[in-house]
Amino acid sequence: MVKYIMKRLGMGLVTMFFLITITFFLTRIMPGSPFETENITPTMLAAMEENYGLDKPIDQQYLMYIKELLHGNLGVSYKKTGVSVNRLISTGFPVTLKLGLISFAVALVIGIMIGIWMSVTRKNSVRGGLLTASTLFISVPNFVLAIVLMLFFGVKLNWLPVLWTGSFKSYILPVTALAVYPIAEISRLVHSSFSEAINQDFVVMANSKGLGKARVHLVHILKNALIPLVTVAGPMIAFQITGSFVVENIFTIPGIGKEFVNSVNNRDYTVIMGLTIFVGGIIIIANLLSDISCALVDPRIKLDKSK
Amino acid sequence: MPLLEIKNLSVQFQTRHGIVNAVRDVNFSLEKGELLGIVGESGSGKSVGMLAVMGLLAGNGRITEGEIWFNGRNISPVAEEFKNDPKGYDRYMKQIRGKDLSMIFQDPMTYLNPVLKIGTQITEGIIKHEKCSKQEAKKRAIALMQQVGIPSAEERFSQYPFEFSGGMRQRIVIAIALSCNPKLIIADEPTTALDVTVQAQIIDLLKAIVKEQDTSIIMITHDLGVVAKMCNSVNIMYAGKVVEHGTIDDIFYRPQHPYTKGLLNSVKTHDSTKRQSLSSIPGTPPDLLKLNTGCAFMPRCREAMKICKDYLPEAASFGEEQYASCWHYCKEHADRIVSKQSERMMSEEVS
Repeated sequence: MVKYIMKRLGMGLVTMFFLITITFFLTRIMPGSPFETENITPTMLAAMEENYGLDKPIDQQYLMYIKELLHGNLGVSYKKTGVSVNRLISTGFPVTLKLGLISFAVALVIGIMIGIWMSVTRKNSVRGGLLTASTLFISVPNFVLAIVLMLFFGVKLNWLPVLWTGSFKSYILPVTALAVYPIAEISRLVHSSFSEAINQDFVVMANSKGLGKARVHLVHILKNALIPLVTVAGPMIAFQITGSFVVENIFTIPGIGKEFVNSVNNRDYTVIMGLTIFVGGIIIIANLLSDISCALVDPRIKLDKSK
Repeated sequence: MPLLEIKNLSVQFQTRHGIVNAVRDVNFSLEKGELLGIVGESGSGKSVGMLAVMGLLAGNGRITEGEIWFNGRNISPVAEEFKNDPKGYDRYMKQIRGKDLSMIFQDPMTYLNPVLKIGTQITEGIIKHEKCSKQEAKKRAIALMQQVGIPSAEERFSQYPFEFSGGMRQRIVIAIALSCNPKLIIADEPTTALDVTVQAQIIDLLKAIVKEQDTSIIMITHDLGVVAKMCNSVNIMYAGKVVEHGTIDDIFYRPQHPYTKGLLNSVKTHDSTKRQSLSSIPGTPPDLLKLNTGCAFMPRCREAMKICKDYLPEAASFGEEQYASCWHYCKEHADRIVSKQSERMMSEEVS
């Protein structure tokens, strides 16, 4: 197990290297410079670029960046004077993480419940209605939903705050906007795997023991039905955390998503790089965690072949 | 009083192509300690009939009529007591299923839950029915595993099905069926999926259990060898009907129904010295959607008569236990039987 995790982490480092290299050169290819604004003189521009080392050849810049990175230093923001990227992440990420995890947990609970409901209901109209709704909500982008929710509950009904205050109430709209897509996705997945598992022979066997309905459904069937869900859960968590960028912007939530969007608009090279590396790391770790939990749910999966 | 008595049991399946009468008017009874074999080809209704007794029919199947007297109580869902109370039927069946009435399934590869530990799968029934603690259930489960011949049971207790071989899994399935000392075990082809040496071990195991625990077993199989080795009496089923019943000796030495004779003829015997081709019953098993109103075996029967096509024969007895339903043995009553059946057909058409 430890060996497997080490191997996966090693592979993750290789992925990170490619990610860093490609992003570094891509940002430099972007036309313009971080300091190029309308009323800047060429001498000032040159002075600024010299100050941040942007006048050096690109390969030297790259080596310098890698060197700093290996010391754990992501550099300073070009636009927010004196603010380091490390600090930007350490203040913004907890908010983003909290939002992502809450919305994922909500989606997991509600999605599984709806999925089971779709599979066990005898009413075709209920199943059809839920399936149609889930298809609909898979297709609606979360930023559209965010604006609609904001308009309806925030502006029209005036029940919930439109902008971020950090209170419990201000979580409701962004969490809803973020959770709807995974709810639809999870409920469809659980529906298909649960309906498949419910017709398996071991269900007949479980019933022949005289077990109660709850035990047959929640232990025997659900545990089998969750295997496909666990495989996609890792990427889904990563998506929940990283996918909140636009929603964060809409609700003015001070997470890293907002910083990311701003940094790209401003060509803030170090911030773009820092956040890309950070998000890349999250995705790699989330995938690893999902593979490990797969082995925990399905005993037939052995992570370590040697064992 | 017999342990199990089945009267006029009929089971129907609703399919896309029409209604299939999988079990048609089946009658038989089983004494305590008896080992009954039910033999028939695929689709003859042998498994379906027993699943109906357990109350485990698939969603599109239902018992249309009949009584199932088990342990002095009618446990048919169409019984007076349960007819208007499906929830009560469910509740009662959950009480006796796994406790008084248990089932051994055919394929140990698919009937064990792949993601639950063997120990959990054995103990959950014990905990439910005997209301004992987890530790006690574990002790009993390990004893059961030893009883069915699983080495190092304690270690095996916390393993998963995929870590067991086919024969070992079938032993686990048997251990689960035995776990609450049932009065009746229904074994649905328990040896079909296993190779021959393991088959023999499993049969010996089941015989030992009957002897030790005073349990009755209904053995569903299409293997006459298994029946000869295990059972006291046999039901021969064809197209949802019991066509012949008798003791082992009756069936093997004095078969009466043409289908039973055909079955026995197709078994290879050891004492044949000259080379000869295996004989078989001509034709294919009947399509249950397109049955004639008479004897279902008629199209394949060498001894068929005109009357066989449209009218059902009645059972004729031979000796104490044996009976067979064939027109050859109830010819004398033809007038009575034919008029009775035409009357019924007329009245069905009118309604």
